[in-house]
Amino acid sequence: MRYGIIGGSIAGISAAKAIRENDSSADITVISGEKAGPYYRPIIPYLISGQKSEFDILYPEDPLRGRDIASVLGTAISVDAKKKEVLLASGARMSFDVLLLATGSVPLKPTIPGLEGTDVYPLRNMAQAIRISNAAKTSRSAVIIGGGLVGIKAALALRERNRSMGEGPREVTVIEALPEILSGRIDQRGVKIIRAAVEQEGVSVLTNTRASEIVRAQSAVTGVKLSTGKTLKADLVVVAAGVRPNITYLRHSGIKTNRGILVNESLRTNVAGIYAAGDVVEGRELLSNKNTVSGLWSNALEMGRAAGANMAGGNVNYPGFLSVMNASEIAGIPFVSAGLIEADGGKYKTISHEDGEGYWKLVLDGAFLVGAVFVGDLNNAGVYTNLIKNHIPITRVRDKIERRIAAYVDLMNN
Amino acid sequence: MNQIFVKPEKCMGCRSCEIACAIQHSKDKSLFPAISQSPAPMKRLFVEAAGGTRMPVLCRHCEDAPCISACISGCLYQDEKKFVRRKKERCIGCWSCVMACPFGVISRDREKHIAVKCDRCHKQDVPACVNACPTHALVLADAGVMSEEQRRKVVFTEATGASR
Amino acid sequence: MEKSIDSGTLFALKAADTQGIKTVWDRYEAQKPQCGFGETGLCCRNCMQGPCRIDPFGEGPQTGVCGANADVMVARWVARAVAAGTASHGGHAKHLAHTLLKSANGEAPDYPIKDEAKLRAVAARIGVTNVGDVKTLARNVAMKALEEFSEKESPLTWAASTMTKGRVDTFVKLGVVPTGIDSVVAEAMHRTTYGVDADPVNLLLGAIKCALADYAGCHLATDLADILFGTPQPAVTRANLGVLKKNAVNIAVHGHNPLLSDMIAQVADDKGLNDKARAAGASEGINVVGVCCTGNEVMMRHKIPLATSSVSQETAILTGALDAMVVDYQCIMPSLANVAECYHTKLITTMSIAKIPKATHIEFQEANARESAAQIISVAIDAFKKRDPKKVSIPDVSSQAIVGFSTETIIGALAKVNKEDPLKPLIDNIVSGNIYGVCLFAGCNTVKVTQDANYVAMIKELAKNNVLILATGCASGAFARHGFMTPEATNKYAGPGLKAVLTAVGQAAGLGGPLPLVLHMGSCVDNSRAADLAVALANKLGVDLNQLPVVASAPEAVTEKAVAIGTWAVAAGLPTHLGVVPPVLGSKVVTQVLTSTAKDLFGGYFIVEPDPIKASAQLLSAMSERRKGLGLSA
Repeated sequence: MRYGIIGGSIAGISAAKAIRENDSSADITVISGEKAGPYYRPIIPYLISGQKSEFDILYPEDPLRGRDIASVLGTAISVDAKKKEVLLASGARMSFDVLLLATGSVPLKPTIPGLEGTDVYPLRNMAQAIRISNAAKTSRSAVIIGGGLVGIKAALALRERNRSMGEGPREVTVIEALPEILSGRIDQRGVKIIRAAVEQEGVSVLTNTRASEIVRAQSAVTGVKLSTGKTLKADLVVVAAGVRPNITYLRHSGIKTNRGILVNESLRTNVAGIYAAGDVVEGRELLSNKNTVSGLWSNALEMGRAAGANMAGGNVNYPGFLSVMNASEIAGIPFVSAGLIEADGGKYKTISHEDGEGYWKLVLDGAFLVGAVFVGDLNNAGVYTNLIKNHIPITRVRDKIERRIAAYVDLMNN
Repeated sequence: MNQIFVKPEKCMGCRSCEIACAIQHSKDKSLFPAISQSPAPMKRLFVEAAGGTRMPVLCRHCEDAPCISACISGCLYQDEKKFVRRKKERCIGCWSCVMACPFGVISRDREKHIAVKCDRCHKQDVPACVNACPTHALVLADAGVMSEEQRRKVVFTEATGASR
Repeated sequence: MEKSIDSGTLFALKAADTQGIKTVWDRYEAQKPQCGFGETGLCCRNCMQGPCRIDPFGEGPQTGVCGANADVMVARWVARAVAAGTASHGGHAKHLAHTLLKSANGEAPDYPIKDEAKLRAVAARIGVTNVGDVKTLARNVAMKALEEFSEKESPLTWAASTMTKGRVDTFVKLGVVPTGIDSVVAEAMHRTTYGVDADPVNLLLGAIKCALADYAGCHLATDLADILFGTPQPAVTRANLGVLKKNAVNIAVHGHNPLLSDMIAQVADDKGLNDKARAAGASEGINVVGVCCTGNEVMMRHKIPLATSSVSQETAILTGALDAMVVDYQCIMPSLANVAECYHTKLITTMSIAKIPKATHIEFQEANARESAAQIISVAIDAFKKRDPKKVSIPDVSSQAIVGFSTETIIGALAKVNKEDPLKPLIDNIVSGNIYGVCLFAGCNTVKVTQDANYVAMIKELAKNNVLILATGCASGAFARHGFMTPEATNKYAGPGLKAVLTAVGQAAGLGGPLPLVLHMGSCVDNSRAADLAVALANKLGVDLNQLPVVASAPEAVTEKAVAIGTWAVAAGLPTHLGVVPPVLGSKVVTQVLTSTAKDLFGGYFIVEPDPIKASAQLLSAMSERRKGLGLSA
């Protein structure tokens, strides 16, 4: 059996491993566009800050090594479902019996006059992060378009570079079209704490603001004109305005897509023998019961695993994912947010508490914990996220859960 | 392979295991220097109580460890003895593992800004916590050799992942 | 588990929660799990070869380094706990004795002899014959009292002269007669130190000997307090946090000894100080409230309302309306300083042996007590000026409480029914079964029991079964908060026989209704009053204490003092209930002796039962057994 996997990041790697575990004689090929080999994508901002080198963010050892899995460097430009063939940009063709689409996502490019050209960088992969890192060395003022996790981390990385290496922009501004940064990643109260800390680190944050033009003198960027009319001085622009699933190569394949690739609970597409996993998938969000694109490392890993097992004849059910399951530390503020983080009354009960230690919030739906936000104190956070993730009803331990003092032992008594 | 088992009915809640763990992970590995070490050494297991049960909760070194799956920097890994360990220098303090561990046994070293967890005292045969337990509520045994009845009595016979 | 069933406490705890202030309940939560070795009494730190612990499951060590086994470790703990309790009550009593001596010598003019009749009664009982004036008599009583502390060649006067002859004979026979309060504490420390007494039963007898000294200390404290401040008379007051006043300078007296609290209560009436308070903006002047046992002292002598007690002491500060908390010693949680820090409240320590960092220390001088009290009140008035009105939230909760039933008062009320033989009505009713028995509630509140829950559950159960209820210490606080010290409670909860008796005595005493359901006898040292009543009954009946249907209960006990009191109650022959398991279960021998063998030796024994309903049933059955023994209807 020939297995093809397009995409060499976490979904693709996890799938390849799962296939090998289920089928020892499988002929597995992974096609990846990343020259450097597999690396930890979520930490590419550390290349910008200079805290880590390219080498540091690679997998400590090739995760596919010793498993007899072929790696091909290349970019798929189309899939012929009937012929069971993938066409690569190089002109090469790869045929398969079973195929996994794990091509992740690509940065959204907002339509802003002047965006095309030098000094403007998207941030999605290692190569782009390295380019930003190089550009940062001589930058004096940088503007980040987009105040999501990537944009904020990029902004803080630029400040960190300035502080620890004495080079890089002194002025860093994040512009966000929405009323608040980190939209959907953490609740309104939590984000206020984080935003204050981000600003404390010397990052200016402008919300409800768009970039209306990238101002250039000859070719070089000199500023960013804002929807407010003001123009910010800038010699470096990072575009972190979100991503979209990387599906353009599937245009004529007959594989059903919407925003992302549509799959069933086996992670199979509408075409027999073709599966999809990771950020390219548009799947079921378990709390809202609506289709959406995940964008989370751990979800991609789980999808890859399930898809790989199913490709090799297994029967793993993957009903969907939670779109909020974040842990991070931003500007010195550690936080975890999971599940439904902003409930608008109704059947939901929200409990929150704030003191010198930090802030926490729990959202309950009857006997179920459906959302949690922990800012500052993360003790036993996993005990809570486990309740959310695995939909475990709370019975006898409700009091301790609601006071945020539950530990694993409490669940044994639940 | 030897695993740590917990017999909750024997746990006195004395926290000797916590102290031994912190000492084991201190600079000098003995009590008196450890209590004056600053920042204080951190324990990796936690004696907790609920209802009539009290017991140390510690890393199960899950076969399919949620913390390893959640790790976004390549810090956590399963070593050749199947212990879930850290490559400390790779930790970036993103706390994804803290979020993922359903047992709540990964904590934050605020000074070094890295995640802290049980390393099963991998350099020695018997972990410090097991050595310290005065009532043998913590025992080291080979799961394969334990009788069915013994297994039913102990917690942590299964190295399960997120689901219980 | 709920923290409390008291609405005042729960109200204040909500304020703590919103402001992120940690209370005793939070600290308890943080301590969990508590160490099982400690809980079972199986650890020993008495020497530097230790610490040692014993594995209760048998796999680990069964003896400490010195060879002491579980029984020895546990028995030594019992003895040392009793010794600590005895030292506390003794210290309290000694403080009063010194003051009485100063008073007699004219060195403490602010402490005149207030109750000459009591002085004469005490003098007569202890064999001090009247030689001259009141001052000389007082001096002789004080000297005799002080002699009680060192080692004498004879039994403690305050124990021997207040017990039944049967008891004294039993104590002599078992070799547990104490000859000095401080000396027996020292003896307990001696015999429990490294390599002395290793016989658990002998150690327990030593503990009992010490506990009898505790009894003497308590009795002494009660007697001298009455002499200096007056024997309590019934007084109507109120209890719970609602007694704090928004428009007054609120001063809480907390601790134990009336030497401090009574003086504050007296001086708080001073017009000049009240004018000063009003000038500071407190339109209602100065409002003194009580907390814990010293609250009991001033409640029954000055009608000072009781704000809270025991485990919930922090709640008084949490109202935001307390301007000063003035403390002496015992049961003062160090955490008060941290809670006070969140408010304008001044925590004022007054005793050289009881200081708390971050508190204001104003050394209380008996020689110029009024001046000390005035100084303390002035500090409170100054603090009032800094009160933050936004933080003030006083729960509108308080219950009426009729308090102050000293033995003298009870006998006085009975005398209204039968002038020649006051005890006869009581005895007749016990004989007839109208009064099934008597239960003395004593002790504290604890985080380990929902505050007041055991008291309330047990009183309902016992009153329904016609048990006459006496209460002291923080047990009184619990009953007062929940309205059990009222005639209404008698009408509502007393069984028909009990109701008839309380009504008849109440009517005869001119109350126009029944006596309250709970007869408040005072603070925890005043357990001696209950003992006096029981001794009077026994002597009247010609039987010993261990034959009477009289029991005791400390359903929410905390302190070493409670261990000492419980132990002398057992020695006095009373079945004594504990609602919190003491750290003795690690030793089968000690458990056996305390709950069973003691019955053979003394008649009294411990009943350990956390469940209040089951405990009530066990106490009723103990009373039933006693009634049968006396040939009464069971």
